[in-house]
Amino acid sequence: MNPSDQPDDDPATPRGDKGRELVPDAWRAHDDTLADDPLAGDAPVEAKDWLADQRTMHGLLRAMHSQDAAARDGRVASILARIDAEATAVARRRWLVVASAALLLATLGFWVVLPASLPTAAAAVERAVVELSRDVVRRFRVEVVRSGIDGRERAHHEFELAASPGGRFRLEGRLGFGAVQLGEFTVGSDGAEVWALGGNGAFKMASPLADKERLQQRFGDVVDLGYLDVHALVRRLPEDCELRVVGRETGADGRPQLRIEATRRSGDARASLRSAWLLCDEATGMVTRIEIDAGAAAGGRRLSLDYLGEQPAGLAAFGRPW
Amino acid sequence: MQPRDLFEILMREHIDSVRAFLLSSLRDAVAAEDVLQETFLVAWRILDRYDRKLPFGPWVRGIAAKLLLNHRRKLGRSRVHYCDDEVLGRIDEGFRDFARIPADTFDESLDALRDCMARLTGPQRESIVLHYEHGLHCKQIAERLGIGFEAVKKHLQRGRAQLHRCLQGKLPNEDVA
Repeated sequence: MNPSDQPDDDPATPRGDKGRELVPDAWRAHDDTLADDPLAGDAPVEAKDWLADQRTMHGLLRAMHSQDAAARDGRVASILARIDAEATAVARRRWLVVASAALLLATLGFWVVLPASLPTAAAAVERAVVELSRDVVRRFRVEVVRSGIDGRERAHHEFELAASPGGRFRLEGRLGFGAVQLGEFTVGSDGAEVWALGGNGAFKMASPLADKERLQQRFGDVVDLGYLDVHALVRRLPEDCELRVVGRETGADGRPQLRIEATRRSGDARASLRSAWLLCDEATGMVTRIEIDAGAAAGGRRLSLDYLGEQPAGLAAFGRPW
Repeated sequence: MQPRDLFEILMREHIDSVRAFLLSSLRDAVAAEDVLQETFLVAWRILDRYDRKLPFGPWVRGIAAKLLLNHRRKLGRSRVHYCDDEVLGRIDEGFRDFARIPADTFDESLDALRDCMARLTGPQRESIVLHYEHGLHCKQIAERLGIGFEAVKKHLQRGRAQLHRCLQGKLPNEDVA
């Protein structure tokens, strides 16, 4: 048999004489790694696995016979040099922008430009709302401090909150009243139903989210369920409150943060939120801390939420655990 | 660790496999070097989009595949082997398989291929050695071996298919489909 008439090898095709496997000539014609004149047109779909295997081996064999550690070091050095050159060019462009901006400031005068350099509170809150509307699970440390009419601390609770847009949240922690520490307490909502579990399972309660007031009455001053839906809480602020930027601060990680004050507009005596402060990361737009001054039956209540970061999807269970 | 340092480590780990991936599709080794540089520069520029929970190799080969397709559109088929998303995706699967061969570096993985080469015999081995090691074209190999041009092509294709099967046999048991 002329060698050129022998069938080719391929695991996907039937075996011919002498145990070899049959590969149609049309497939071989599309293997342009060995031909100077590539065949026009697309390869048949059924040939693509075989072609890909051939090409993989072609690449590996070429690489194997040109493997050279010194050449690899040269490649890496060359790429790093280009990366550094780009970084220098970017830094130079930034410097030019900064220099231009400084020139502009000098020209226009500080007193004209500086007040406008702070973003408006409404824009910053709107940006935070957009960030909070991303469908991810965010973790917060929640601290609730209740004080009496005399100003002395009556209760201090600390919780961990996982919250997602769509009214989904789960708050877990221990309740404490002065020196008395009560058991684990969990409250959650899957966006349709709000539930609570406490006293090592002795206390269980659930109700539709629309009827959350019923559940809220049982919690009293421990925590306001409305504050746990962080996305909705921040979204409502521009409607309910006067907003203003009161300054710019540096966060613990050294990043600039805007401090925004929200003061409730008069006329809604039933609302518990009197005022709030927000810290918004200027780079990401995300709210990093919320402090709420809320009214209580007697005395006052302060609640703070510190943003801890995103939680991997699937780790937060918002549904009722029983 | 600075992002550039992290990137250098990733690049050193993957540059050989990306180069082999490009050599599977680009005729010209110099063009492969150019696209290789471009691939890692693009990877550096968009490094913030890389999900660190996923392996780096497939991500950077994905960038290389897009650049290959652009290259093919610009330069035509004479410079780039037959390419479409499907074939490039399957070649990438081949490289994913190759990366599962137990080894610390790409060069150590190539030892598996060297071992398979050592087992290859007859005209298939001769054709592959003459083509890939000595850089002879099919016509020159045909003259050297005294056989037809088409026969050389078949020997090369069969040899590569045998090497592919041999490498598949070296994958850890749980990875063999």
